Amino acid sequence: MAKRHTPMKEPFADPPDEGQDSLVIDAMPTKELFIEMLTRDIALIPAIIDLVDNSADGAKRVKGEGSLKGFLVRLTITSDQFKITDNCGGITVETARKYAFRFGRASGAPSVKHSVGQFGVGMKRAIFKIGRQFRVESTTDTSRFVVDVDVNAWAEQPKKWTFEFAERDEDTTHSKDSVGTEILITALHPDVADVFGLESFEGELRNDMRTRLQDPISRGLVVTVNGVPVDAEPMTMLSDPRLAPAYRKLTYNGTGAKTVTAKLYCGLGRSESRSEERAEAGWNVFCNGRLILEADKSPVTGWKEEVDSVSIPGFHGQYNYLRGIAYFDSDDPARLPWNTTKTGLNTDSPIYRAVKLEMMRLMRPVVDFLNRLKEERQAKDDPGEKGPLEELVESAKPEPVMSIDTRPVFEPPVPKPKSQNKEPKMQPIHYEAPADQVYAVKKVLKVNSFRDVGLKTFKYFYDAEVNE
Amino acid sequence: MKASSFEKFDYALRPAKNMERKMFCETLGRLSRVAPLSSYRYVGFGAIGFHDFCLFHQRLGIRDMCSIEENTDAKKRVSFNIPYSCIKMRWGESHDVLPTLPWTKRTIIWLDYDKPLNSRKLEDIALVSGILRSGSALIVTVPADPGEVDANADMAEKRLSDLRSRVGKNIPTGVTGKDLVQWGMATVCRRIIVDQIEKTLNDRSAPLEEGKKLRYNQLFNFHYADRTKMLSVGGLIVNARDKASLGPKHFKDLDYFRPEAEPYLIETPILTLREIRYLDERLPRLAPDVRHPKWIPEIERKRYGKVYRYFPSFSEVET
Repeated sequence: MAKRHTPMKEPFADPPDEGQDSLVIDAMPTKELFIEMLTRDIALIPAIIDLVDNSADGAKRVKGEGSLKGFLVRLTITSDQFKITDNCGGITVETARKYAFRFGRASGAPSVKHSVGQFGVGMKRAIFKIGRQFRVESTTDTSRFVVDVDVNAWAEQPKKWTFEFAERDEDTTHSKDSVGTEILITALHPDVADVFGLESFEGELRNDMRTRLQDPISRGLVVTVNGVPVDAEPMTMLSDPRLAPAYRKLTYNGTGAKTVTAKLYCGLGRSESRSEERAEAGWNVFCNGRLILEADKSPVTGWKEEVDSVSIPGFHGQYNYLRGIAYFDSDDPARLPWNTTKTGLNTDSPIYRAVKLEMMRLMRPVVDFLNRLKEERQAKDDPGEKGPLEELVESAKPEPVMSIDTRPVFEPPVPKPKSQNKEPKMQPIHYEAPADQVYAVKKVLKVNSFRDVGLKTFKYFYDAEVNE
Repeated sequence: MKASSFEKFDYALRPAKNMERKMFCETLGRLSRVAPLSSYRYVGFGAIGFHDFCLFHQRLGIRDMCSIEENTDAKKRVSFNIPYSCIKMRWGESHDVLPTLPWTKRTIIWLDYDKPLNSRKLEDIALVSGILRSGSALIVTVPADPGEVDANADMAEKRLSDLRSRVGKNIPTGVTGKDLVQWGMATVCRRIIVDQIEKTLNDRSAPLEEGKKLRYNQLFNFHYADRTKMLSVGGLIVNARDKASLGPKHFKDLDYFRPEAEPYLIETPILTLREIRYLDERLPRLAPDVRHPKWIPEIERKRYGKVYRYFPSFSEVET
């Protein structure tokens, strides 16, 4: 039986009645300000990915940490509507009433292990970012509801901080096939409609999803955009045992706080094409499976800040092979070092400050190795010839990081010193001297060429004054 | 070929260095309040003399020892001089070797540099502070000589720019060239080193609970000059529990214990072996203010009274 117009919990108390007490000042936010602030700090694609994260969190709630096989998130995007449909467990009426539509996370809200959703703004923010009319329908095995909102009409009622169920069933049974959530957004913002209409948009979205969602997708979650699945691209590193990446796991427990683990990998990688080499180098930081920082080469991950004094040098082309991955995971997403839009790191996070030291330590032997590789390349006489390190790097195969045998520290092979009988490096000298003196020396040396004059006089001085 | 300091001086004949080593050893023996010393690891730069390694193996019983040697051209010579089989060599510059060492054991590490402090050495210090476990000891020795006076140069300016070129932004604010005269260079270097250790420990401890946070407790702040002015600064890296078993109060009896900015100057008395034997018979009864005999200059008597337990007596035959 569906009851209509049941108000959901109000996030704000009633504003004060000005007539009663003139000392009270009205600080109630307007809804437009709210909507504007909420959406300003996030770009369109991350907002959409937030919605997929919500679905992935739903799947994790059902399945825990393991495989996400069988879960599906379908996005349908056209220039007049946006729809996301999933079979990831659905939202209960209880959750919808108390938490899912609240702006901000209520303190009593149940947490999902290793979830991405944390601040309680993702769904609303994404909806407001995209359009002005939305319909959320969600079915769990015991309940079902529909919320249908015209945002313009809602915004015009400044004091009403509630939405209403359009349909609501509780204590009903639903078949497994019907469980899931569908969010339909229409009345798209004109600029969003324009973007959705672009040929290139789908490709861009797909690319971003491929990297940002690689963890859930590689665990089996199927995400499709307009019917075509997004494939995950697992991170790879060179797997040769002599070049295998270093791995270290750090665990932070606190009394009364959920554990945070950081798994760090640092080694070498090789891109498919030369043009991507630089783009792919650096550190990748994940928080609960979400890629927060991609191929970072900045001080945030320990690269040089100033010219004079830090351990890791600034990024240069010679470090194009460096690959680092940091996976942060926690049952309590608030302890992870990400910012509210999940698009960047919170470098002040106590955990990140500590882990960064470890990232820098793992990275240093890799940097040293790449410096040596550069020296080797510069020292070779024949540009076609490959030194032992270069040979090793180029023959090693990239493999998904999870399937490589790691080691506690990246200990690069030390190249054998060049054989002793090899010709020493030569340095030409050019100089002029008074002709009569040169002829005089030539006569004393009993040689035929000026080249020999130079060589013999140099040798004479070297033997007499330098050589021991 | 890089000239290591072992190719320039014989370490055995540097009396202040010799005394410093014995003072370290005496102090570090107290680490047994935290854990048996046999469970510790020693990491140092043994060069060809391995004096620190010998002492710490003989006196402290440490068996897990690692010597870092950058002079790879002298591999054979260095290897020939390894005094005990428990000493493992790691070839390469400390900057390259330190990140690759295992750091699971409590460690005593002495970064005994023969070149002045620079950013690369600070990176070593940061790295080690970032990984040493509680109950470990870190000592850093660097030459800290203000340099010879050049009449044609503005020395204050020259000293400051020289230091800046080595450590960059790590110079504490407010330090001027005039602060770097005499032992001033050592004083400033100590501030830079301690700041680096504490900064790293703060970052590392940020996510830890109060009881697990790691702090630097300084034990040593030595100034000495066998030739050039040297600084040795170091102490323990401890959490609250280890600090309770081994805190400042457990070192108060040591005359050279220096937990703060005030240095301890290791001075070498100039005495003959006969004089040393004569004075020894009257020590420690007279110490530290050795008033007799008057025919030995007062300054030498007083110096000896302070350091007699550590003072090396050299004779022609090496024992």
